[in-house]
Amino acid sequence: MSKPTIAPQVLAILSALVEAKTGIHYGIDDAALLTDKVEARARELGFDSLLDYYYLLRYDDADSREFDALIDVLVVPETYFFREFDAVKLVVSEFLAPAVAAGKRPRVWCAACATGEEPLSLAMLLADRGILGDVDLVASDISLRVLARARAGKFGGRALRQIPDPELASRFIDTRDGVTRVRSELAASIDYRRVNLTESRAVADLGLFDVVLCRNVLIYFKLETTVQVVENIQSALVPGGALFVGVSESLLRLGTALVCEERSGTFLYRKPG
Amino acid sequence: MSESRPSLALSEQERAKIAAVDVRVATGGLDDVLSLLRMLVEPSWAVRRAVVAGLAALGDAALPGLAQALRSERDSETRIAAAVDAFSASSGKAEQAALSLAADPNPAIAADGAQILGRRRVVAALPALEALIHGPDDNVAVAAIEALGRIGGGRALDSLVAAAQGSSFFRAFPAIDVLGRTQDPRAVAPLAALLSNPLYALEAARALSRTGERAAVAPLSQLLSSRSGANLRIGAVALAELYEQAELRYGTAASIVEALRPLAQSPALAERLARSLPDADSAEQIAICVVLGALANEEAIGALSRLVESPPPIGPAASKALNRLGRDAQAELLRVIRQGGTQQRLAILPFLSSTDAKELVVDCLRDDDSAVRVLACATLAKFGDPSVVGALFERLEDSDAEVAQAALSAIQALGGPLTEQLATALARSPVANLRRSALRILAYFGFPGALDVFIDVMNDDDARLRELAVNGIALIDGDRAMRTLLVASTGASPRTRAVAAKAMGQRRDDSRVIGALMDALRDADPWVRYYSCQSLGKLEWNDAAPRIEELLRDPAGQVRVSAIEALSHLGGDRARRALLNAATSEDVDLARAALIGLGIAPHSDALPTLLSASTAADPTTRLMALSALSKFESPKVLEVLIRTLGDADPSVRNAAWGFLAARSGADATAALVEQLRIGKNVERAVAALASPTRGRVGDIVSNLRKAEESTARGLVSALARIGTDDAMAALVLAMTGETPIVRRIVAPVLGALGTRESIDALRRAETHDPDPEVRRICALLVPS
Repeated sequence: MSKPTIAPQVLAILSALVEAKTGIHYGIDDAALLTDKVEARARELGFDSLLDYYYLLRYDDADSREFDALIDVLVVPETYFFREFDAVKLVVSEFLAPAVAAGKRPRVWCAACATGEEPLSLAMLLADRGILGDVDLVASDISLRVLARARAGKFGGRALRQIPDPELASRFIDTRDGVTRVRSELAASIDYRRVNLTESRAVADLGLFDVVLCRNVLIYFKLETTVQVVENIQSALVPGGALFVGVSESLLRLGTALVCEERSGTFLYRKPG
Repeated sequence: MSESRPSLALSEQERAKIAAVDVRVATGGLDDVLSLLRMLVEPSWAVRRAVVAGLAALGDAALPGLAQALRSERDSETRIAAAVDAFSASSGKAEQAALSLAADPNPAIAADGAQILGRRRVVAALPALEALIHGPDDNVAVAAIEALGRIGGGRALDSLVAAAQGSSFFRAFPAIDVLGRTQDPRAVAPLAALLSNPLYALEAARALSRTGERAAVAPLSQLLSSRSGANLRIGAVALAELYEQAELRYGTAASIVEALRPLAQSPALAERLARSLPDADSAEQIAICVVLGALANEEAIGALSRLVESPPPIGPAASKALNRLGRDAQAELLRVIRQGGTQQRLAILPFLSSTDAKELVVDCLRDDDSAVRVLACATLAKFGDPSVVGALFERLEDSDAEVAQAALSAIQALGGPLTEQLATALARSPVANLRRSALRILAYFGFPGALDVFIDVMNDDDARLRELAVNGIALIDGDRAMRTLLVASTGASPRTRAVAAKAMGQRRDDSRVIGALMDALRDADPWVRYYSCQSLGKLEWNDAAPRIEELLRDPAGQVRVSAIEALSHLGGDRARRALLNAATSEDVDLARAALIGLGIAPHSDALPTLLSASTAADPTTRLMALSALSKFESPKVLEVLIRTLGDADPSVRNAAWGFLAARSGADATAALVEQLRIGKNVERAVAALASPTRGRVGDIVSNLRKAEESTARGLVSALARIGTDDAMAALVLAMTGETPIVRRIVAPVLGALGTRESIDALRRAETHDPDPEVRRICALLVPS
């Protein structure tokens, strides 16, 4: 069986389908990346033509099972514990802890959490303050495969590539035989959901949040999709709620109603209260 | 006049106005001129361009009005810019009027006059422009400096050097910049002298880098030996730009790399460059990688290999630098990979191109890191030496599926006498995955000796193995193989039947497949119908057309699309009508498949449908329409391609550039030359012109004779980048052409190419060229 080949036209229809269903944009520069990933999946099913595989997705996948499998291949679970940790600490110290102290039960959502290192890092900080049980912690991703890995609570060595607070890490993380595990109560405290961020209904179904972390995700979307995703998230914030994006991301060019604020060197976006 | 314009890009209103402009120009009376002058503030760029062209064509009749507009109607920047454009391009005797404008006491008018003199390249205006450089107004002086740069030549160059060395900061800077842009080899020495002046060093380095001249390497290299990190980075940026400029202009930076070679001996330079990366901005980081690549010594390659995994822009820049290393650097690459660890192996394996590295790469097949093993497989496939297939077969058992897949691909790429024997043995393995790999290899090559293996597998419980066997059987000649294939096509498993239907599309030689495929069009499984349609189309079995047309109403979408694809290959009026109907279907995939189909056998009936689809809201549909249209010879297609160069979607734009580049004919070349002249996408236009289509070299040469300087530079670069014998011959011949400006542009290119013919041409021009400027430039370029 020969290696599947891809014509620019096939690449165009495949990337348009992926973008229409997930919002993930593959531009001209990403052609090789998309081809490699789709080829791998098509080969697994015995297709040596990506056009044939495309028609499978288009006409013979009513229950979206194959498309979900493709998403699992396409999504890059590129994350690690304590990534951009200053922002996570700020979420706890400035938003969640004060709300709990005021007798409220704040809700926080880690959008596009991949294999769960971000919500688990947040859970560690909450547990460290003894308020883990007082906060609703929701984490979501579009890929069922990565969510399954997140729920399993087992990680590889690269998940710990940066440890800004070794003492905190040692209290909650255990690494043996090359496998990193977090304490079970942390994983149990997180409500993992499958959510496509471009679907406003799916986002609305999650309810309202005091804080949303959606970091290093918007870079995968085209401008129009980013605007839509930010609007969906904005609708999911309570008045005065805050959205945190990645350090290299900015919402300023989007003309969003969210207001940019800077706290201790970290930028966040507040919904006017 | 309006015939050559891409009318599809214009609105009705614009078209009407342009037609009116054409009438005014054709009539050419005073009222017409006045009317055109009033239209200089037209909001539409396309209309304004037509007005400017019209006023320029009217020549002397329009000049007084244009001068009046520049003197007295300066309330609109649009009018001023358009009037200057028309004045500059005027077919009349505009020199005196422009000199008069340049002498105007109003600095803004004088600056416009200087600009016009420069754009018209009025050599007689040199004394006036030199005077303006020393005049009281800085803006006028800068305009005069720009004009001198455009006029070029020894005297203008001397004036620019004087301005660059003068005491006025505001005039020295633009003069240095213009000197760099002249691309005149004589600018190198005075610019190099300015490097020692801290005030101007940065600007001088930038200007030197823009010359693209080999002679600029030595002075810029000295910046790398500076103790100052800032100077080191400035030097790296300038050298990298010099490298890029040479590559763009001459199609090769070999002369720059050669001139940089002595730097490879500088102790610890590579290390210093690598150490300076954290303090560098992104442009500097990329430049440092380029210079490291040009050094190409062991130390530099080691540094680059450590940088490959860095985040952008350093990682990609380091990869690119390693990729540029020629065969000359293979020894250094091997030394680094031998002494390095996993990271070095990952960084360097993709760039090995020498079979001398075979043993080392085979060692990498056993690396602890699976990514290294994958790369090693791909590298061995690239080497093309089948003696390594034994080692690759071992990797089929790799615990990492990606490695096993890479080994399989490599074996398929290499083949060789051992492959059949090893694969046949592996087909008996008790491990299912290994048997699948073996079947894939045997099926890929269709070894006749593997028929028994395939037939055995047809009874296997593993459906995937059966499918692979069917694929293999289809490639084997003979009745026994055919009978097995026919049995498979009526088997119980829909997947096996589908694979058999697909495989039969490769059996053009046996009529029995047609009957089987026609029967399979009625199969209960949609994928069997899908592949049967596809195969009948591939086999171009025209009698199947009526049955395939029925499948356009099939309940399964993929079957309808497959029917469209099959009809595209069958041709004929009925099939074309079906495609035309489907092209407007609400099912976008059906419509897109039909659009592609209409391009397979181009017919004028299809043109309106395709032209309409080329303006669809959906970019993917536009792309499909454009692909199909590119197969048509019609001049309307050229108009669409030109329009689509500015499409909102990058994929469509990219495709339009590609199709235009690949299109042969004088009109397509003229369209690209026009893009060059407009100047918005110079690099893309040069790259497209450098596509060696039929007649391209001759078309470029024809355009070169009448081109303005900036366009001529692009055309000469395109010839250099085409690099074929006829393109090289055209460049050498251009040194004997009529236009001195073209000879001045061609000379440095011949110097950079450095072939015996090009140097001979320079030697001849050094002594015999009628233009003293050309002789002086050639004297600088001829090797001593």
